[in-house]
Amino acid sequence: MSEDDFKKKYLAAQTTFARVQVCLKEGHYKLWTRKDKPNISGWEFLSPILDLPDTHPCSYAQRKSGGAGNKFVVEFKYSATIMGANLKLYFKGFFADDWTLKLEIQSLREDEEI
Amino acid sequence: MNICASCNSDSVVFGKTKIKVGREIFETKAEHCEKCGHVAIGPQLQAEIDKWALGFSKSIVELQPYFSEAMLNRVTDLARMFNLSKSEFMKVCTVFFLLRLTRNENFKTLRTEVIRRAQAKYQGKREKVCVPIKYQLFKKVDLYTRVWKLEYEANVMEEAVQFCVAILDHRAQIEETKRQRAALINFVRSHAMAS
Repeated sequence: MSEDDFKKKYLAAQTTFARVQVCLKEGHYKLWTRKDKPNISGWEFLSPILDLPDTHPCSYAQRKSGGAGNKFVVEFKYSATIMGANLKLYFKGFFADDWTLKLEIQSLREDEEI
Repeated sequence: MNICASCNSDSVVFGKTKIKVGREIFETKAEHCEKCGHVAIGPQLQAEIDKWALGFSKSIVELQPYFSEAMLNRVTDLARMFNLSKSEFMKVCTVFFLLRLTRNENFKTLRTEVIRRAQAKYQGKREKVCVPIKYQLFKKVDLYTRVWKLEYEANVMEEAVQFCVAILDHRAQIEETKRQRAALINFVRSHAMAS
């Protein structure tokens, strides 16, 4: 997909969650992971997000840590069945209103509260 | 300098870095944090890792599962029956377990029940075996390890072999595993034929 097409799709998305979905679908993201034990199966955890409605509850707030880069924090919980396991997952990423910045995924782990 | 998404320090640089995949090291240039050692993997970098790892003619990791002597004897018999080596048989069981058995809607219950029964039947002092595996299987093993929160990747092969042996023994006395028996036999036979 060209940058222009991505931009149109991104800006047309009605909700923050829908924008997250666009970023994931179009590969406009980075998953932060350990170098000594990288999550090489990251997409298996991310792909169920694409099946959720774009109204899926999702919080969006100003990032507290300063500096350049993505200025907002996006967080949500979702369910997925992976390899027979029913998981409640927690997603935390850094996001921007600027479509040129890639969604940075900080956390993709089982939600301990549920 | 960008803020690290993992540790929030301003230590993110773009440059040479090393990513451990199995027992191998993938060297590349990528965005990484000099403080916490995390690296940003996007779809493009993941595709590069996949391409590099799939290019290995040798294994990417050697699993070291533990089995009781009784279980190993049974595995030896079954492997011989299918004209496979012990190691090949264990790998075929692992593939079948990860790709087919985990799709069963009652997998969670079956997993506990069938493995418990297999462990009860094949008791005794446990021995370590070494089974080298390639990247495609390693990826699935890694995923299963994560979602079921296992301590080691080798635990996946332990579960898989115990589960498959229980199915082949037909002693589990669980209707759903009886149905899987024929599928497993065909799967192992096809693999034996291909290899």
